[in-house]
Amino acid sequence: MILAAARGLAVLLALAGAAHAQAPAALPTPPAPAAAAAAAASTPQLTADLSTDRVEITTGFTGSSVMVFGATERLIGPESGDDVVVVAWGPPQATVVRRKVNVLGFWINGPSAVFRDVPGFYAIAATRPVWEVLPEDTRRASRLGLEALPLRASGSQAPAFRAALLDLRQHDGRWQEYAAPVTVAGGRLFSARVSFPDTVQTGAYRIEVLLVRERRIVARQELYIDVERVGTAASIAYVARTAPLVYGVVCILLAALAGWLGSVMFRRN
Amino acid sequence: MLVPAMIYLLGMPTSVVIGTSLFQVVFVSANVTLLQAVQVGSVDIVLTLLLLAGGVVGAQFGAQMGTKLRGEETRALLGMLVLSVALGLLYDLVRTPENLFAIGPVP
Repeated sequence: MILAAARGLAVLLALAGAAHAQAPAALPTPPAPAAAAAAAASTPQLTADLSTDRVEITTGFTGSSVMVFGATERLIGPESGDDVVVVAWGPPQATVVRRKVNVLGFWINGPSAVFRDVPGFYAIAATRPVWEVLPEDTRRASRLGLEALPLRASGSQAPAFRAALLDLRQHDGRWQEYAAPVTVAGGRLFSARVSFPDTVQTGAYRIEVLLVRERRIVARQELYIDVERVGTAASIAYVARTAPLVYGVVCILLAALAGWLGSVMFRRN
Repeated sequence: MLVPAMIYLLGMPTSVVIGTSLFQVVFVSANVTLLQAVQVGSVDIVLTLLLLAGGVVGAQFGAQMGTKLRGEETRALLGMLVLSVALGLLYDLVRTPENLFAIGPVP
């Protein structure tokens, strides 16, 4: 983890050095239009990378965070009108929302709504909120912002279920909207932190970095990160999945062994 | 329900009743553990080991204390324990929940 952060910092510093080196060279003589066009074609408008390409879940896992950083060709900020948006997606996870109802004084589970195609993890961060910089149809098409997620339910269609899903998922930290800022250094270097809670699912996560200008997405880059179990947790999960019968028998034997061990130890005392 | 039935209907001594009831629970829970592991795959062995450590030590102290107490005292303590758990469950059912909505994975 510390190594990964150090690696991220080193790359960021290298990028900072490059940006400072380029700036004075470009200032004295503005290049000819043809040369400028060639330069624009060769240098990407947006470059981004991650501090690590995998998140490891051990038995003592209490959450983790990944730094997304990069640089843009033009200055970021309100003067130039360029904005950077970072979106992280987890594997889809079907979710059921249940409402409790009062029957004869008892609170029991009542109607429910099943949301089939919702991300198990979703986080968005931006230099400015996306509703300020992008029109609604673009936000819907690229699913930017929790309001733009297509949350279609089977079962109860009441809007309260959708609201409850948004509320509870944000509460447990699996859906985040502008929870952490995208910080800009030197006008062109940006970084953002994506935090995974301890309840994070394993699987392939996608992180999209978008460059927004004049209410359009002008560049985008996709990055991938793997969240996986390692060490003891991985071997336990492997046995439980591939040989559930053996796993169950081992659990019972362990319990019996613990009971027997306890009785032996206390008898001697 | 098994414990009061053995005490009052069968007239067994309280210490024997507790042992008999636990002996029977061992097989029920072993069976449930196996089925849960095979069908649902949701037995958390690390959590189980942590709970086992407390359970095994507590059972030894409990067994020692049980030999020192009289039958009526054990019964009174057991009764209070069962009643307080029942009242706690009832309170959870009756009180207005903080959030009417709950989310979970689709089975």
